[in-house]
Amino acid sequence: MAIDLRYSALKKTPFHSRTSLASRTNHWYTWNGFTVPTEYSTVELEYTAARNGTSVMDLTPMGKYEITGEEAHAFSDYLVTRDLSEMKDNTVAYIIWCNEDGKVIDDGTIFKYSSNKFMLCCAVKIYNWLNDSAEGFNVKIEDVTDTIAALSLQGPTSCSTLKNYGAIGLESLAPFEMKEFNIDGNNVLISRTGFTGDLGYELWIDPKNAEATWDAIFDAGKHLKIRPFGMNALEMTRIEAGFIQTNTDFMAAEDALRPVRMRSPYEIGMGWLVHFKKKNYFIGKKALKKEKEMGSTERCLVGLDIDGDKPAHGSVIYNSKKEDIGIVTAAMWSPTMKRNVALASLRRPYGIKIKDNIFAEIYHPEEIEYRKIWAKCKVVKRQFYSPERRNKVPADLYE
Amino acid sequence: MSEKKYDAIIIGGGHNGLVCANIIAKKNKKVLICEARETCGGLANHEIINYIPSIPNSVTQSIGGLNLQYNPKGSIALSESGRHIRLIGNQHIDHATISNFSTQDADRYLEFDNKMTQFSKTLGGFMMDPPPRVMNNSFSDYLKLFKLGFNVRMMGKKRFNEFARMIGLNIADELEDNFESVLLQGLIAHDAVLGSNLGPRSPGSLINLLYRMAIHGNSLFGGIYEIEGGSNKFISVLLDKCSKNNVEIKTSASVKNCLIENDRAIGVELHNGEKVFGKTIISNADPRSTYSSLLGSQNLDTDVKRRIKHHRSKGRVAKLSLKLNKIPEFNECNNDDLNSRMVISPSIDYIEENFNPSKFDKLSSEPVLEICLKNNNENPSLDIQVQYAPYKAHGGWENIKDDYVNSIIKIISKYANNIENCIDSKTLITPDDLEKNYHVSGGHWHHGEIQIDQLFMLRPIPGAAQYKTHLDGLYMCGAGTHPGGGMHGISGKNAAKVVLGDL
Amino acid sequence: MPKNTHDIIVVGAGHNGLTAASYMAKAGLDVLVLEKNEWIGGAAVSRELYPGWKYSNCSYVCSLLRPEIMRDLELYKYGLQIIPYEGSATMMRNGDYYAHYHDHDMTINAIRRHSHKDAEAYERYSRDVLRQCKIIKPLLKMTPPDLTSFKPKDIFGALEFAKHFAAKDELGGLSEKEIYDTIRFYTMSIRDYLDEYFESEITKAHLAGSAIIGTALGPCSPGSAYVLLHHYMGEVDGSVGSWGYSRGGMGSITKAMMGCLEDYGGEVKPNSEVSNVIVKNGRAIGVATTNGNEYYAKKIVSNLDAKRTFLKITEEKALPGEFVERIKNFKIRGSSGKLNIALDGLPDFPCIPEGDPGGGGDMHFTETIEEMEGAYDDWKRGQWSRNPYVDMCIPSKSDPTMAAPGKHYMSVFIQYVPFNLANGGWNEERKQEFGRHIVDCISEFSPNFKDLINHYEVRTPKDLDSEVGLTEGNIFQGELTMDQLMFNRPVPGYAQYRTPLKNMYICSSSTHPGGGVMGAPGANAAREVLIDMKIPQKGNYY
Repeated sequence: MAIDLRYSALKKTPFHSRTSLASRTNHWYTWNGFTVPTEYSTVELEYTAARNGTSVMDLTPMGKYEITGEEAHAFSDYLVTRDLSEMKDNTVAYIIWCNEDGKVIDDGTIFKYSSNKFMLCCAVKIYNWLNDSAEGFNVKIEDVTDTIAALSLQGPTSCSTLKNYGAIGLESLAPFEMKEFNIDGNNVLISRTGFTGDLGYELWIDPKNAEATWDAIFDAGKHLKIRPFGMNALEMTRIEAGFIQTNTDFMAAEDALRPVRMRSPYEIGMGWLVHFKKKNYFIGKKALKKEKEMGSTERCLVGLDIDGDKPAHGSVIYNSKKEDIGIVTAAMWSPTMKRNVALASLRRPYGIKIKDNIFAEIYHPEEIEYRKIWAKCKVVKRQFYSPERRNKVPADLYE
Repeated sequence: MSEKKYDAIIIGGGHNGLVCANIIAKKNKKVLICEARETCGGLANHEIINYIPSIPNSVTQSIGGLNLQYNPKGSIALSESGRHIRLIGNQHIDHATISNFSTQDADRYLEFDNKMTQFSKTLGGFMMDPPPRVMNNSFSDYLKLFKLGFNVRMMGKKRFNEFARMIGLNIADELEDNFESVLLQGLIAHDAVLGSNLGPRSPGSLINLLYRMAIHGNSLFGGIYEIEGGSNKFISVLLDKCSKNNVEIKTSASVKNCLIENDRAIGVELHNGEKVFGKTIISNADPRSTYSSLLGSQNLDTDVKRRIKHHRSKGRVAKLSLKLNKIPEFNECNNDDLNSRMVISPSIDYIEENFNPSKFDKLSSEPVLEICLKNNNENPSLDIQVQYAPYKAHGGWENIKDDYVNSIIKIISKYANNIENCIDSKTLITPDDLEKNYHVSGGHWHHGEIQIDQLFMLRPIPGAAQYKTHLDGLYMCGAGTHPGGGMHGISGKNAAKVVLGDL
Repeated sequence: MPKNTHDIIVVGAGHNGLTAASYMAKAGLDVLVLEKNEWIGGAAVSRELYPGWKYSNCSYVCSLLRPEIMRDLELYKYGLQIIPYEGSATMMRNGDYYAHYHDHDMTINAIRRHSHKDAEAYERYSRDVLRQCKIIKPLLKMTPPDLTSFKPKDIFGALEFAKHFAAKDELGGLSEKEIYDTIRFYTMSIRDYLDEYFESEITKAHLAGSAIIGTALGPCSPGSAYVLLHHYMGEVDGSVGSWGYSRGGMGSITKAMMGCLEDYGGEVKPNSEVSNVIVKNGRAIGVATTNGNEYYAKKIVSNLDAKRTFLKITEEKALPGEFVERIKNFKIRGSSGKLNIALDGLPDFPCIPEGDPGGGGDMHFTETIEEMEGAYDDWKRGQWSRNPYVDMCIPSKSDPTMAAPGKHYMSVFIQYVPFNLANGGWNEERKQEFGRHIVDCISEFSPNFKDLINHYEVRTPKDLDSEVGLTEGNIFQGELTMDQLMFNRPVPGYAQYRTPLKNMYICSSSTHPGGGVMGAPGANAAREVLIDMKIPQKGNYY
């Protein structure tokens, strides 16, 4: 008997036939209503691909919204805290946006095609927010999550892989620039962006061509240490790069149930993205200005270098008097740097004025029993790892 | 050219704008009023309203006295049988009147009137001041809340409990618990739902009545007056004050938007391109127009946009004016009765049936009416408030207006047989017309529903209930703010207080 | 000392009466429960009214029953098992359907078929409603303080109420904004509330259903948004707002409670209708039953609604006149009816694809708020809704104990049905006409439904009144409007489960926090009795 599946739990991405074939573990993860691999083989191998060769990740579930219309530029500038008024065509900007209380809703990247067309990419669903915010602006908001397939190629050989694939002259593309290529008769938009803190690119293509593109890229990269890359490995690379993750390092203000969980840009180290000098009003400006003037920022998000080699997952951070001063939001043992690092949300002045003499209480699993470790930490720059090749123009090629 | 010319620029010369202007100007401040229409007064206009309840003392005092003559206006609940109930606001006489219908009702009426009067007095003080904010850690705000709580408690345990119960109660339950006369129920229920988007059986309809009584500080039917000369006289008195206080008034000066510099309102731009600058800008326009036109969506946070978008301000009252060639004969009505406001609202169920279709913008064939006869000049007229006329009617007002007017006249003819022969001309002003001609978005009398979620510190929207908008330097003084609703000028007075504090 | 003396007599063996009785028995008291019917359970029963089928013939689903009560009374030991819903659906006349599922992502994808904006707005909506659930949850367990009293206990209680709102941990520190949101939520109509989030009629109609079930309010009535909360604040295994079936029907709940009560030495006497409370020297000392027995106790706890407690079994002269007046004006309006149906097979609902879990819970067919409000307008006129809102479910789909394999039991809850039918009131003929009307309405969405019917039972508010003892057939034992909630329930000044008559208490849903198979009024009342008797309270609930 045929079952009518008008209802369906999870969506499959246009790369599903390839990702499911590549997956040896059959370990899946739910992301924005899509199912994507948590890992394909083992997390260490995938991680290494991003630092050694080319890693390929299916980015399709990422929320993608197209902003078009006469006031697309003005609206984008109003939406985010960063000054976008000088943004050039065919560039990408890293942005955050806030609610009326100046609490961060999400971070993401915005792509400028022309002053009439922008695309916003982010982790959480914000279609509703964009539409409500667009009231009074002559713009059209379209959710293109399902109509644009996306791949992320990261790692030192990623430029060479893409060049083999047909992106001629890609090496001259600077970070946060994008360019449209015609490859095998199809348009492929490539931006030099990524979430690994390394040399890397993101491809935005028509879902029809998804499978062919996947195949062609793996063919192009077969001598360049190419490997599919899952969520778990991404988590490792992004911590090393010091990137923040919404609903992990902070709660999206539109999703937070408890008001105390909401964070202002200053509390997650994003103060550099708030530009009061902007000509026009932007959402949250009033509240952010007040926070800045009053100095009422309560917390901060910092990098921690932790003694020992046991990752401080979910640890509570204490001061020398054993008072609770914050928590670890993400932690890892860095295979590249051989450092025990973590991102932590601390109560000020800890992390800003007081950077030493703080401790993490780590519960480390050792053969079914947890051992409690009291580890000394040091507050360090959140960007733990940033190789020179990341920003080099022209990009390194392996030929 | 950002030289500050005025201390305050008031957008809109409605009665609240005029009150506000006078109070500020009295302190030797330079005030300008920009009125979009050719004359000031806004909805305080005999085309729109029938009568004005007494202006609260706190308002007249702060302007320095208004020389107004009041004539009390009785209320008469018309009955098809001719057994009308006439109430004039004097407890002795009203008691006797109701006794003719039911002795139990007469006693209960006094009790009800006393109770409501006491509650309204307790609430009264709260009405006259800007509403406090909660959880704001401001001592004076907490004090205000505490004072209200204390006053309510000082009414005694029994009344306290009764008060707590009445806040969310519907008027129908309270009336049915107390009175047996269906006509009396109809009359009181009519006054409770007048101008609102509630039926007598909707929870919260009782507070409407209490609210109005609290503002005017009078007993149930004792607070209704007709200012000699009507609302036009009221406005002309306010205008006289304005010229005494050197308030400048620009008419036919429609404001396009606020001028903003460094996140602060610094002036206004008129539709003719002229720019005027002032230290403060005060909007007498309704909240929605203030936010979306004056302030501009580009300058608002998304959450504020959401709140303004869902601010409920759809009008539900239409005004029918009938110019007469002679006075119609109302059954069993004497000359005194004709000077009263005549209410056609024979029962609670009648009102409720009327209310039902309006919820989804449909028309009722038998609307609730409040009729006032104007007979003080050569051309008598009947001014009729038609309750539950939707803002945008299903099918479009232009297509159904005539039928609607005829159905209203048909109802009146049940009480005045010869009405149809007395009519010279008929004009119906729907909420839609109000919006177009008087610049009130939604065409709501009160610039926004009087329901608990839009009252006190929530009026018009949370975060803007203290007469300040979300833009520094831009204030609101219209009926959309606390306490709002009705012709009394408290909103204008309170706004002036806040603005003067900031100046 | 007279015969038949106990510590406590509970009048009525409904779920609140049994909860109160069990808590008191557990505290070591000798408790007797008197029940007028030959079966126990009040409105939480499973009855075999047609051989082979079990009917949950009053309440039919479970969500609100406080987990702490289940834990304290160890109801699992006595057979209680809750089965979560798989989903819920509203069928549409165009052949489509709208569904919610146990799985959040599935729900979002399903809403998206109807409106993309609504699907995303649903996330914000769930967060806001969940926040309200969190705010109210601890209040359910509290005895509302008497705000007029200057006794330290009441002042402390009021502070406790206030302090709760400022709590940092569970609620995360409510700011000014959240306080305003809360005031608005409590006073708005569900229509206005939903309009602030959603655009499509079907989304709004589906969600608004919970706001009108059991009340004499329409979706346009202010205050109906709160009623939504009343149906959302429950939980099934920590999943807030979700609903489930009680395995073996709703009777399993009261059966389990009785099991607990008996283990602690309590006793339930069926067929013992209390005719009056025996009063001596201004104190309640016992009760007399219609069959001529008299029972005496230190404390009497009534599980009857406020009207029956104070106007029927208590003599008027034992109570202050004003109190009696208030009780007379207590609003308790029947607005719901029920059909309990024994089916020979599973009816087809062509709108919902076969195998779709959306059909595994409550099903409806009201597509717009206007339709729903129209149903309410009919009720106000004293008619049953021509186009009713129904909440129908087939528990036997998930619960193997309700009917033989292949056979099914269907529960149809109908909103609105008046207690006083205009033009002459209820009689057998009109009751059957009403039943046929509902069957016709359902048949519109299920072609083979009529053919599968083996037997059905029609329940009007009149039946609920006369059989179960719910005055006017109001399922909440009193309207859930602002004037009758918290400090005002049942009447202002008497919201602490004590009555003006000494030694007499009330534990029914006429008290805070109100109706639904929640047990909180019972547990709260038991606490007050124990305080008065100076017996320490134990358990997770307190």
